[in-house]
Amino acid sequence: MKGRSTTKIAALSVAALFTAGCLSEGGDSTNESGGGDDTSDGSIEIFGAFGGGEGDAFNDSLEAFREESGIDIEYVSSPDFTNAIQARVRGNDAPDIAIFPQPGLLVDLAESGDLVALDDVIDLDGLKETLIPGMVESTETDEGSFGVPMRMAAKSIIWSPAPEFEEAGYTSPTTTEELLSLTDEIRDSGTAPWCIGIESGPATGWVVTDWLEEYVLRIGGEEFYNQWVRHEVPFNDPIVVEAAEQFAEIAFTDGNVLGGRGSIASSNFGTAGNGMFEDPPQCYLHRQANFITSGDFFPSEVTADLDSQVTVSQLPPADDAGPAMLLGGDWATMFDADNAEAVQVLEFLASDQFGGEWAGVGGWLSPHTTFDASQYPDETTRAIFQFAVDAETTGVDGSDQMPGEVGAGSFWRGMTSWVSGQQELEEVLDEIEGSWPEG
Amino acid sequence: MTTQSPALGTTGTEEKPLQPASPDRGRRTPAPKLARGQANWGVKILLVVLCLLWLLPTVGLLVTSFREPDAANSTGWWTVFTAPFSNWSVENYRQVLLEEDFGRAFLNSFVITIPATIIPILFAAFAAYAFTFMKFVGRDFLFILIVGLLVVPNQVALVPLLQLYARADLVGTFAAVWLAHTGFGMPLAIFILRGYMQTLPRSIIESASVDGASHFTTFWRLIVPMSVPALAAFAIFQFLWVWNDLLIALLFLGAGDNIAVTVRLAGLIGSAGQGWQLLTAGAFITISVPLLVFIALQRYFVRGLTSGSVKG
Amino acid sequence: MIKIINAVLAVLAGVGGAMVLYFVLNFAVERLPGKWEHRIKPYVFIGPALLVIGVFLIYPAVQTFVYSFANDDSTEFVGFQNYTELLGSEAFRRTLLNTLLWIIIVPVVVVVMGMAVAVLADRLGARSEKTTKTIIFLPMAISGVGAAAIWGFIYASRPPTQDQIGLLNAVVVGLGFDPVAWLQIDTGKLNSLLLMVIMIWTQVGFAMVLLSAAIKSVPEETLEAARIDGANEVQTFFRVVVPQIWATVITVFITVLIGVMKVFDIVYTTTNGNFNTNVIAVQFFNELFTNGNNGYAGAIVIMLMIAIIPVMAYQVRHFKKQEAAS
Repeated sequence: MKGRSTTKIAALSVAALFTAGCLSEGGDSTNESGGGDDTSDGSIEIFGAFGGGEGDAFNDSLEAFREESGIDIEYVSSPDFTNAIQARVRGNDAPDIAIFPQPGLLVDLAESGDLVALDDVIDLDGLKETLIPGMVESTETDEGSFGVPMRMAAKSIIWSPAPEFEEAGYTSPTTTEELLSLTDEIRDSGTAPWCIGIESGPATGWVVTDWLEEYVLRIGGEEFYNQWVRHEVPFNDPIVVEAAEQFAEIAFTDGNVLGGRGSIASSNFGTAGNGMFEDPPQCYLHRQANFITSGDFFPSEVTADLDSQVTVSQLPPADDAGPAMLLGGDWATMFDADNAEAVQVLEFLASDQFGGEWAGVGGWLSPHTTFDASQYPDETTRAIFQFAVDAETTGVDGSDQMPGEVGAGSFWRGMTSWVSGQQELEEVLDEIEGSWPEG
Repeated sequence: MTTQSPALGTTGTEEKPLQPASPDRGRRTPAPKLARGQANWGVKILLVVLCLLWLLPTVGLLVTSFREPDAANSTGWWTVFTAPFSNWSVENYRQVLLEEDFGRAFLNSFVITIPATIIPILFAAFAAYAFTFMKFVGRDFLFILIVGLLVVPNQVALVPLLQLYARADLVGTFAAVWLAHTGFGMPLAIFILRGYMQTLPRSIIESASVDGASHFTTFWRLIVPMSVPALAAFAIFQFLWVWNDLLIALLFLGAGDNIAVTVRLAGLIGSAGQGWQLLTAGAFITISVPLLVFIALQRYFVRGLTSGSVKG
Repeated sequence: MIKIINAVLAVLAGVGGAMVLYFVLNFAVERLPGKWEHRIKPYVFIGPALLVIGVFLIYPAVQTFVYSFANDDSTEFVGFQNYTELLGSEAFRRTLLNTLLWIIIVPVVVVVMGMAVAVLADRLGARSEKTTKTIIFLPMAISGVGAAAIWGFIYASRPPTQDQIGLLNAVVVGLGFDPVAWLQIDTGKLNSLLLMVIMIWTQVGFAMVLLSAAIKSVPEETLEAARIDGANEVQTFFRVVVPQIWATVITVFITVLIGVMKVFDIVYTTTNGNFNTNVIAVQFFNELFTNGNNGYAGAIVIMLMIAIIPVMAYQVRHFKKQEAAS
């Protein structure tokens, strides 16, 4: 794959064409080169889903390690990661390390025997001591753990426009009751309290599944949440109905959402919150994960001066429970336990030493409570990181863990059709329950 | 069409003197009765309206490619026409073009696309000739089979092919992609070329055979020149499919030295879709190549090639 | 510079290798005794094509056929279960219905419009004709991602209090109505029809190119004869031109039809089949990659292959008739 001369390719292609033409007696000129053995050629290929600024930041975070270890690391990214990695793994062309944007597919591949259990390869117990609970556990099967977190997303974040929010005399809610009364107060003042948008092209719906998971985690608690994700309780359990109704109270009450319920499904998730930054604000509350400050979602004058432009709070817990945090992330895994260099790279990616450079760029959180928070670029990010560290209840994004039919299928689809008013809640939950694959 | 009412038909049916000499003038056999420039106003207006409608979405993309993401996120692209050239920026283009290795990826895409266009046409032209002008056992069955395979989505072939290529150590080589595109493009190429060849006058082939020309000679001397419009048409399609392909290039070439431009562009996108505005600029940089190919090959869509051959 | 030389060398090797192949094969066959030469030659002509098709399509298709009778990870045979389950599910039947709608509408519209442009542009001056055709062809050259972004700026919808970034809604709001979430309205299949517009936009150029090539190859003498007989424009077109290019019309129609059966990116990137816009190729893709269900994915492909056979049979019959007539 690397550094192969064009002449060789030319020779190969002629050979290939002749072979294709049945002239099989033609000498096979392909075996003399031999230079393409995948393992231990001093180069490690990492394949992941994130490119652009994130890919650059990832590469920068590896720079010091590259020099120190002498390992040549090549990072390849594609938005088609999910399909490409499945084809490559089944086609016996797996990269050395893959970074999955969700644990579900990783666990699928682990269960079909394509991945290496990491329990004996790296010191998972040591990692778990400083990792935020649930991050490694989400990649566990009966055979062991198959992935280590490289990045964390904190999802239970409510964003507000900073000066206007305080000028209007609003304060960040700490209980669900306060959240609801703040919602009423803003609405009665004549402005829509919330901006909510779930349109995300082929992935439309994931924002509502996050909302539902937020309340399943809060109302049902951590244990129930994990049982629900693993389908040890029915998908349409009464607690889930209650959670959905909590979201409906916020999102479907007339006047609560900018543009009304009808605009939720068609508003883009990335820019829906930008109504907050108009003058006067079109809305005051927007729930979205920390990554929303990276890239080009919020207006550039906001991201340039985050601390004075936004106020962040945490989606409040139910009743008198402690603070809860819904998490997302990226998980790194490997395919060959004997690849010593890959192990070295994986250990580094999983450690609390990784990511300083990326943290400085913004939009990236370490999954380690011990990560040096001074490396984050602003107070807002530090506050979000602290929310995650202090959370008493944590859960990893459920739709990311469920089987593809549900997590990237019926769950997204069902929630979207409920939000847009095409189907009733009960019908949707029953359908999702029915779509769960057997076994 | 040449069919004007008789009265009109007698007046200037030659190419209008207004028309500047077109680049294909040399190839155009006398082409006596062209209705060039005889469209009436109704036809002209209809075509202009259609062209405007067809261009509209692309203009939107073009304008957006010169806007900053903040602006594109908040106001419609047509608003630039009320305040022309305010907030225009070439930032998107600058970022794409200055991207590391963009030039090499661009070059690679030519190395991928040119053979992946010519090889399938060559294979398919021979096959289409056989299906049209030769008789052999299993002809109809094979033809239906080949065209039936058109509905098979390429995705089903990816895994078996990767296995095959991994065994042959072909992953990452240009040959891997050439062969894949040759295979995937073959049914349509055969289908289109045979569809065209069967409209050719069979008498030509028969007289050639009486004159003692072998099939091989007939193919090269008669059928290929007469099929130029169809060959050019398919060349255009195959070129732009291969040029725009992402999945095959990603899987079979990856991101090494031989990275394709589509793979390079896709790598500009963040995990939540950040950077999409770079793709608007990327789309216009990459679109230019198939468009030039189209314009260049258009000269072969001319009248008179077949009639010339009949007479010759 | 060395890079460019290497690139040129690679291209030459690839293309040259393929050319040499045929000359060598032909040379070999022509050494055979006459009778054998005639028997074997057709297979020399179709051989290389058949071989790549065998490796790249037939082998995977056979595998798909086998998978379609096995369970989701292809470890156990389940008979016709995948077929009966799919056909028994209401969602799949809705998907089939949508696909059928695409099949009925898109190929006809594309062929008619492509023909109209080819015929009408043929009457413009050479330069105008080229410009027109280039504009109509343009959408074909835009990658899938680009097309999705383009149409996003047509169909996008935002809350009424905010500026619209979708052209269609800007018009609607300008006329004093509330913005419409176009792709979510399946009343009268509106959203599916709007997605078909995208497909038509990209495919008319394809039909135009092929039909134009065919029209240009209609011999002048036949047109002249019709004109001398006093036929008017429209009559000449339908009686003289259409019969001569009918084979191409069918070819284009079937090609577009098959393209419609496989339509994927347009629906996937805009709605992913939500809001009752699902089509069979999107379902296939989701079964294969999202759900990891080889069985369902295989069954869908086999059903597509069966569906195309009658169309092909018509084409072959038409060809045979033509062959017999000549």
